[in-house]
Amino acid sequence: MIYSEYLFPNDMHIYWSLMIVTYPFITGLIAGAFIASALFHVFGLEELKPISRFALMVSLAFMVCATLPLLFHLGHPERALNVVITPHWHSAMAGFGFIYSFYLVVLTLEIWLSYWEEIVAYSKTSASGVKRLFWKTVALGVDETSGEIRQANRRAIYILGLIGIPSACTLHGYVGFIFGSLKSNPWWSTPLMPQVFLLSAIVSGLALLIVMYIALSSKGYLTWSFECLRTLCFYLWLSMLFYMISEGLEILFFFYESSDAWFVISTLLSTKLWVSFVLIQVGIGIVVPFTLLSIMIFVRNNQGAYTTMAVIAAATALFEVWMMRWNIVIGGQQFSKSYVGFRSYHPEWLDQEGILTTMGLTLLPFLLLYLLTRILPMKEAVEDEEPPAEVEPG
Amino acid sequence: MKALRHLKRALWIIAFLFVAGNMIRFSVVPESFGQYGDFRGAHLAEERARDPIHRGSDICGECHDERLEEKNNGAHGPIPCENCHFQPYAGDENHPEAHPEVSQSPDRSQRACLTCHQFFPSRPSAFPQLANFPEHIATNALKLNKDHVGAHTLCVHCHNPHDPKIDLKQNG
Repeated sequence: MIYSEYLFPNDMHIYWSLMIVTYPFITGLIAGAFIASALFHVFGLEELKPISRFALMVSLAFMVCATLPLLFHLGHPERALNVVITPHWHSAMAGFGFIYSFYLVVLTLEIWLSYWEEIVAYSKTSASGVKRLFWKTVALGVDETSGEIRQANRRAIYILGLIGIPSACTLHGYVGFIFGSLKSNPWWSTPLMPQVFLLSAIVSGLALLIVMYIALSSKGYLTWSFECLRTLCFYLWLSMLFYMISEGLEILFFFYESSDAWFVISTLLSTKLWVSFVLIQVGIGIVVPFTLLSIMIFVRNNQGAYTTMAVIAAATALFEVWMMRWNIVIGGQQFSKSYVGFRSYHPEWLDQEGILTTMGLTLLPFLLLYLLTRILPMKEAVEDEEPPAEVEPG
Repeated sequence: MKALRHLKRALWIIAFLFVAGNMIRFSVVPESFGQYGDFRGAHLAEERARDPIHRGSDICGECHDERLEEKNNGAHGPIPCENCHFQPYAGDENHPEAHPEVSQSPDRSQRACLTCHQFFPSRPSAFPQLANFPEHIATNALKLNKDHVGAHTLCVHCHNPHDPKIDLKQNG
């Protein structure tokens, strides 16, 4: 069967599996969640205050798990660090190590400063000595929360957010860069790829925050604010708009150029990717949330209807981004370099890179997030509610 | 300045981690790395010192000279024996003992032949290649008047892999 499909012997298998689908998905959620928090911390979007600290925690939980799919994919995970030990200008993968480490530091510092009040309070009031020692270590032996420290922290958070935005963009843009720079594959090789990945990352991050915000605030874990939801939905709509334009432009260029690449891509879209890309990703994943989000802009008073639509829109948008990763990663490997042969991918349930592993790795950040929220509160800082009068100049 | 105490401490920790990380990096990079390029220079000498697994067709000819000559004069001349027979001996000097196992090794299936002879649009048109295997058997094998016509037919039923060309006039 394989030989009748005009496949070259060296491209009979799909090597980049579900793990490589999961990896950009998880990385995207980091960047998206961080940008939502930066909208408050850097751009002063007060409406997003209820979710600003929680978004950072979401970002951290996913950040810690981001490399796991890659490690599961590697035949020799113990060699993973070699890429950063001996980096190379011709290996974009090394860049990931540096960007990831840098961003992890920025994110950890930002969370540390955002929770400064709590950390200091726990270091003083925790019941057991071990806990107090733990929190004292986290506070690096400092136990002050004066107005001056608060101001310094706020300034540092602002600067970190400012550094964090380009870092988050680089982190995810780089994932797109890896795909975009693979010149041998026409489905990937386009300079639009980093932009498509970055925008879809923001879409997925915001969509996840919307779903979690609605779920958690309904149980009282987060402070409910309709304006916060509206702002999140508006930015989801905006990022989705730019994402659609970029993705659409990509396909349009392929079509209009009608190069040899279009010969294989058009066949791919009408056969192997007809269901997963055209019907599911575009037909459901883009049309449904974007239509709902566009309608929601005009819904001002009916909170119930708005929230229901927000859940549907965010869930489908999240699903869309996952499908987008699937269609790019798997779709790009479904045609042979011969341009006339196609192959199929059927992931196993129990494989090292199979469906169960994927589900586990996708759920792991949520478990981690749960543990994080057991240690630190989800809600926004209360101290801000009483602005120090002396700060205001006369 | 007291307000910046915790930030200063955090920055010291980051600086320490950065320096420690780099020191570890320098200590684990192999000494000969970068000697010739972005790889371990000593690797070349290590590879040269290894026993070769593939030894070329001439070594087969030391015993199987007739077969080798037949192959070299035929269309499969440029293809090394090991491509189909695998390695004659992998570092094992005791060839006669290994021989029975080796003699079974050639893949006689259609797959083996079609690895090179399956039709691909990118292959030179003069290169013998098959787009439709059943049709090829139905037309050509019948001309040869062979008994092996059917789904079970293998290429090697009609073609001698050492010299695959068949003169239809002579055989027909």
